[in-house]
Order: sequence, then structure tokens, then C-alpha cells
Amino acid sequence: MSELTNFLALVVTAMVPYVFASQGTMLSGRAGVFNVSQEGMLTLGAAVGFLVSLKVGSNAAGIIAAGLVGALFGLVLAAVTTYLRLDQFVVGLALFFLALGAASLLYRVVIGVTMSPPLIPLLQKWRIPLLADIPVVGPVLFHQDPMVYLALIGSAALWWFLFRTDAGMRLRSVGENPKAADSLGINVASTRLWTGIVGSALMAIAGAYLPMVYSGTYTDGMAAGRGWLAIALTFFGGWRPQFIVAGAAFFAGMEVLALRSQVAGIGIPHQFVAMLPYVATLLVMIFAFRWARVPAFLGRNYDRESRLVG
Amino acid sequence: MVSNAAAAGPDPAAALRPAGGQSPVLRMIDIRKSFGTVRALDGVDFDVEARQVHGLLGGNGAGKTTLMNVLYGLYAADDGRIEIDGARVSIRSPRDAIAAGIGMVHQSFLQVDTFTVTENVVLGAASGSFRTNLAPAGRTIAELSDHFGLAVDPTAVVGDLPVGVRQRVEILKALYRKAKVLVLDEPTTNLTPQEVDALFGSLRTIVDEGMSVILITHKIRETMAACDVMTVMRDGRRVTTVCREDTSPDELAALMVGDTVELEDDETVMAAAMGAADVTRTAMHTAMHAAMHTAPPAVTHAVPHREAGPAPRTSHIRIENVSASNDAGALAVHDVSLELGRGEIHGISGVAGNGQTELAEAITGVRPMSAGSMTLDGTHLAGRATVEWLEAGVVYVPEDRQRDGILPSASIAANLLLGGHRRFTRFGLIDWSRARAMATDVISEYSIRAPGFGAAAGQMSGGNIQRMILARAFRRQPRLLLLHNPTRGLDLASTQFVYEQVRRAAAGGCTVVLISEDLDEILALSQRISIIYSGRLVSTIDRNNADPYQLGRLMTGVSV
Repeated sequence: MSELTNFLALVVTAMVPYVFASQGTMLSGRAGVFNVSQEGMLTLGAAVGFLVSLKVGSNAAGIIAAGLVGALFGLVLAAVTTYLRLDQFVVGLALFFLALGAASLLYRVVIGVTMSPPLIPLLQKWRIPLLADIPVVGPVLFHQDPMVYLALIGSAALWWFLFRTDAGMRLRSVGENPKAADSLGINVASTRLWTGIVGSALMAIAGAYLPMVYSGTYTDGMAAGRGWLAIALTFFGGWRPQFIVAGAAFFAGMEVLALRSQVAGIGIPHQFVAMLPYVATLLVMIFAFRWARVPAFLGRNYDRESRLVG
Repeated sequence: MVSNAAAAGPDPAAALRPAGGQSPVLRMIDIRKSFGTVRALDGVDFDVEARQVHGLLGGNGAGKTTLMNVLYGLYAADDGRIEIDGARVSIRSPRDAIAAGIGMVHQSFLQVDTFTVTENVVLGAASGSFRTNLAPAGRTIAELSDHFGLAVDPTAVVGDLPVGVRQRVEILKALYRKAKVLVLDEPTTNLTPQEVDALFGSLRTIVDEGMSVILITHKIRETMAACDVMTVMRDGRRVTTVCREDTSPDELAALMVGDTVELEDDETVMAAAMGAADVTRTAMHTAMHAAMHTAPPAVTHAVPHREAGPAPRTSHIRIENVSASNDAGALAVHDVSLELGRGEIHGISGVAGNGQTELAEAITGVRPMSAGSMTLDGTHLAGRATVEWLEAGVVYVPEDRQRDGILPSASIAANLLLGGHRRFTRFGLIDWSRARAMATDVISEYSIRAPGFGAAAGQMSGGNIQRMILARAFRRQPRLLLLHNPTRGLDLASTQFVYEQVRRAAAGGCTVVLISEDLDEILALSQRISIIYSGRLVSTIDRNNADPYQLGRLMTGVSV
């Protein structure tokens, strides 16, 4: 495998958590629920995913369990902001801290403090017959673990659902003008609930992927800011699934580049290179925010009987 | 005491029904709704017949919109029932209302700006397939738009469309859902006279097809022009229902405002907001005055006669070749020049979005001019710091009072201080005792209905917020006062109050620039009128030579 192919294959793997977390952010944001607990969801997803995989002996079980825990957090966020109309950012940040603490606690309760942490097997790569034999593209896209395929196919499905179906159009209208949606008989509350739940579940699944593809174990802080970057990436992607995938590739590219240059030892102190994804984020965001079309009702709560406009 | 008798007596609408006529399409019976301690609807009965345009008339806070929001399922009524075609229906959400055949065009359009016309129209309507297929819907919309005279481009993005077209989209939304009863909430705000005529023409076609239209308005002239039957509401109660042939503008005005004796007895929000009885009387007088110049059924645009002052003798304010850009950086004001005399009220009329806001901000120092100059009594102001504009006596009352006019969560006292706060400081600290005394004075002087100077400004009603903003403006003793849509959304009494204050300021030598989309307002106050179109002043005419239809053509760029 050539150096380039190897690099690109790593980028595609590194994309996966960004794709899941950002599509989750995008989905609930499209209905007006702005979840800012991504970093917490990723961390808790990593802990739950790792622990369940370890105890059950199946990575799939770990991913599903992480998704369920994420869904529970999403339900809490969507319900208290939709029905009690609490501030989305305050609740989101509270859930972030809760999830962070819960992840650490869970690991300590189940595993305890050990010198040699237990490991789970990494995800197996699936070779797609014929397609995997194409030079460069084959090994990069068609000889990957199933989560890579799920992330890419899921993103395409999300795009189709949001922009090519009636249900998707209704969902988008809730995030743009819930009063208009409500006045046309669209159920604003249920839309916010299910997108909040699914969005959070996707974030936790993004987290569960981390121990299954990198370390084989859980460590505190292993989300390493990916959750926060996912928020930035969602804006960068203009709240559209297809651009989010492109943005995820860019962010993942930065991440892999930083990692590789550490290993290669290229004169520059590796701390500087490690800063790269974050600096790139800042620069990109300065420009991306100019054109990013954000759902008009993002982060706000809808009250049908409020006499204030909007 | 006509209202009490009517409200308590037998259903007057019943008497209006032709003998042997069918039962009404819509009956609302004993509807009650409170917001906290405020009784918005106090046992309202309301019937609508088929093939009729039914006017729902009343001042701010009369409960017209609340009643219709109950009908449309946006507000849950505390009590009462609704019957459609004689059968009781339960309307708990807009979905139920749509299913019952009710369509509503809200004052602020309920549209998704980023969607196309077709997408907005079909949104929420069952299409029968999971995949979106807009082609058949687009054809239906084109047919409806053709049939009812509601010209729209189905593929246009709604956010790019002017107000008049967006309103047609709202009507099409209801027609597409096969509404039996179409409710329009203050539909003529921001429309040109030509657009109003076209709208009323479409409404006539709609009722001729067998539907019913409910027209919410506080403009008597409109109901006389467009409605077959009108119901007058006041203070959350129905005052009466009358046929157009059996009433007159005078009677409607009197019913709307109520007699002063009754107002004093009535402890309602509106009565208290009016404060003194003489304000009420003046308001009634004006309403009648305006209405008397109306000859139904043609849509006429009443022009109450006013003495126009002579053209300015001494030039007080000189605006020369001013250009300015909008927030997106595009040139929105082109080469505007104006000379204004001391004490002149100069109207600037135009359809919303033709550079009014940018012009207003440019000549008040809020927005930098990209070219041009401005002098006030010989003092150059262009390019100066805001504080110098303020000291020169330039005062701006912006259009969007909630966003640009006040700090909604700050107290009334703090809001009244803004801009003039330097006069209330001692050693750099605000002298709150003096500020509070000032606020107390202002609240009583301007009849601001508020719990006290410490209440959050944003909690007050629109009319009271505007009174507060005007109080702040006049306390600065302005030399140039710029008002942008100063009475939008205000009821008769508050509007009259604003007009009196403006005339008094002008009489005192203040130059007033009145930018308004309400042509009646421009005609009622101005001595000279400039028409703004695409950021240019296309014409300046004397008030006495102004013809509303000519102004309408200028405003839409038809004739220059």
C-alpha cells in the first residue's frame, strides 16, 4: 500500500466520529434543537461502548448500548427544552458535564484502577468484493470497517430524507419557522423530540467508535475535543449532510496529518502540529460563518401561545 | 350603552339572515379566553354565513385576533364551542382547524423564508407519497393563482418576495387546502392602494365561489369597501353585528371606540391605556372624520383635508447627494437630496424595502453615508460621531421598536434615560433618584400604562412602548425628528396620540421626517411628500396636489 493510499484510508477512518456527531447535531438542529453536549455524548458513548463490548463480547452490542444511552440524554434535552422551555445551551452544557462525569464514574465502577487496562478487539475490516480491487479508491473506501460504510450511506440517506421527502421538508420547516409549521398542522413537539433523540444517539455512537478503532480501551478525555469540533463542522457544512461529509474529511485530514508528523519527526515541535486541526477550524470558521445558512430557529424554544412574534 | 344591550340581547346576526336561509357556515358560541389576569375574550358569539366577506372590526386589544387564533387552534379557549356547518367541532390545534376547513392569513406571514412558493403551499398537506413531488402541486397553484387573480411565481423563494406577493402565497395556502372559511388578519398593512384593490377583488371571487372570508381590521374604510357584514368588537366582547347597508362609518367608529362614560366604568386595559377621556373623544372624532370621506362600496383612500403649509422658507436641514449601503454592502440609498424647513413635516412614502431604513439610518447618523453631506443649521454632520448627532438635536424613532428602539428587559426608567443619560449623571454615576422622578413624570404625562418605572420595557404592549419611545424622543427637544412607521400596530387612540405629539413638536419648530408605508398617515400629517423607490426619491410633491393613486404608481415605479 502506497503512502498516499495509507494516508487516505486513515483519513476515512478518522472521519467517522466527525460524521456521526455532526450529522446528529445537524439533524436535531434542523428541527431547532441545538445540542451542545457533543463532547459529553462522545465521551459517554466511548465508555458505554467499551464497557458493554467488553462484558458482552460484541462490538455491535457496545455500539447499540451507546446509542441507547445517547438517546436517553437526547430525550432529556429535547423534552425539557420543548415542554418546559428551558434554555437549550444551559441544559446542553449541564448534560455535557453529567455525561463526562458519568463516563469516568462508569469506567471506575466496572473496571477500577488497574495497571493493565482490559482491551476489546478492534473492528474488523470488511472487504467489498470487486470494488476493493480498484487501485487507491478500493483500499481507501471499500476495505474499511462497517461503521465507515454506515457513516457514508447514512449521510446519503439523511440528505435524501431531508431534501427529497415530504417528511424531511416538514422537519426542516420546524427548525426554520415552527409557528408556520404548527399553523399547517405539523407536530412541532414530536419532531423536536425524535430528532433530539436520534441526534444524541448518533453522537454517542460516534464516541463508541473511538475505543473500537484506536486504542481498544477507554481513557478519560479520549474524545479530545472531537465533540466541539463537530459543532464547528456542522456550521462549516452549512447544516447540510453532503457538506458535513466533506468538512469531516477536511477535519480528519488535519487530525491524521498532525498525528503522522508527530511520528515522522519533522523538526517542528509536535505540539504545533497538534494544534493544526484547531487552528484550521478557527480559520475555516471565520470564512464559513459568512456563508453558512443556519436554521432560523436554531437553539430557540417554541411556545404556541407566546404573544411575542417568532 | 349600546354595546351592553347588544351583547346581552338576542343574537343580532340571526335577524340578518335571509328568511329561510341556511344556518351559518361557522358559529362560535360563548368563547372565553384569559391571558393571566387579562380577559382577552369574554363570552364572544360570532357567526359567519356562506358567500360573505365578514369584517371583524375593533381597536388594539379588542380581541379580534385572539378570537381568530382560537378558531385556528393557536390558542386554546378556556370555554365555549365552535360549530361548522351546524356540527360541533373540537379545534385543539391548527391541524384540526385545517381539517375543519379553516384557513388563516396571519399578520406576520407564517412562511419558511428559505422554501419556494410551492414548498410553502404544500408544506404539511398530505401528498400521498413519501417522496416529495412538487410538479402537480405547482400546476394546481398556478391554476388557483390564475383563477383568483393571485399572481405568483410558484418556483420563487419566498424570502425574496415583496410583502404583497407573500400575502398572496398565504391566501393560496388556504385555497390549496380547500378552506371553507378564510381568515385574514389586517391584510392591507404595507400594501399599495392598487394592491389593496386587487386583494379585495380576489376576496370577492373567493366568496362568489361559495367560501366565506373573515377580514380582521381596525380600518373602518376597508370594511365599508370590502365587507358584506361586520362585527364590531371591543374589550373582548362582541358589541354588535351589522350589515353594510344598515350602518355608516360614523356609527362603526362610535361602536369601536365606545362612549367615554362607559370607558370610565370599564376597568380594562384599553380604557386605562387611553387615560384621559378627552383622548378618547379626540380619537373617536378622528375615526369619524376619516370615515366620513369614504363612499362605499368602491375602495377609496380617504384623504382628510389638511392645511398644507407653504414650501419651506428658510432651509433648516440640507441633505445633499446622500448614498448609503445596506447591511449586505449593496447600495440601498442613491443620491438623495432634500431641503427641509423649520417646523416642516415631510412625508417619505414607499413600499417596504425600498431603502427607507437605510435612508433613515443614514440621515440620523446611525449608518455611515457612503457619499453626500448633511447640514443642520449650517453644522456639518456627515461622518461625525453619534454623540455629535445627538447634541445637534437629531432624534430617531426606528421602525422596529422591539429590536432597535428599546432594551426589552431593562426597566422603563433605564430605557427613558438612554441617549439622554449624560444629563442624569453626577461624577460619572447615574443619579437614579432624579432619573426615577423623571420616569414617574413621563409615565403620567404620556399616559404610559405600566406597573411602574421599574417594570421591564418589553413587557408593555406595542402602543405603550411607542409612547415611551416618543416620550424619550420629545424630552430631548429634537431639531430633527425622524419617525419610521410610528403607528404601525397601534390602535386608534395611540395613533391619535402620536399624531398630536408630532404636530405639537412641528409647531414648536422641530423638523419632522415621517417615513411610513401607511399612505393615510403620510397624507394626514405631511406638508410635502417624497416618494422613495429603489433607494431614490423619485418625486417630491405638495400635500395638496397629492392623489393616492398617483402616489401608488410612483411607489411601485410604474410612473416616474
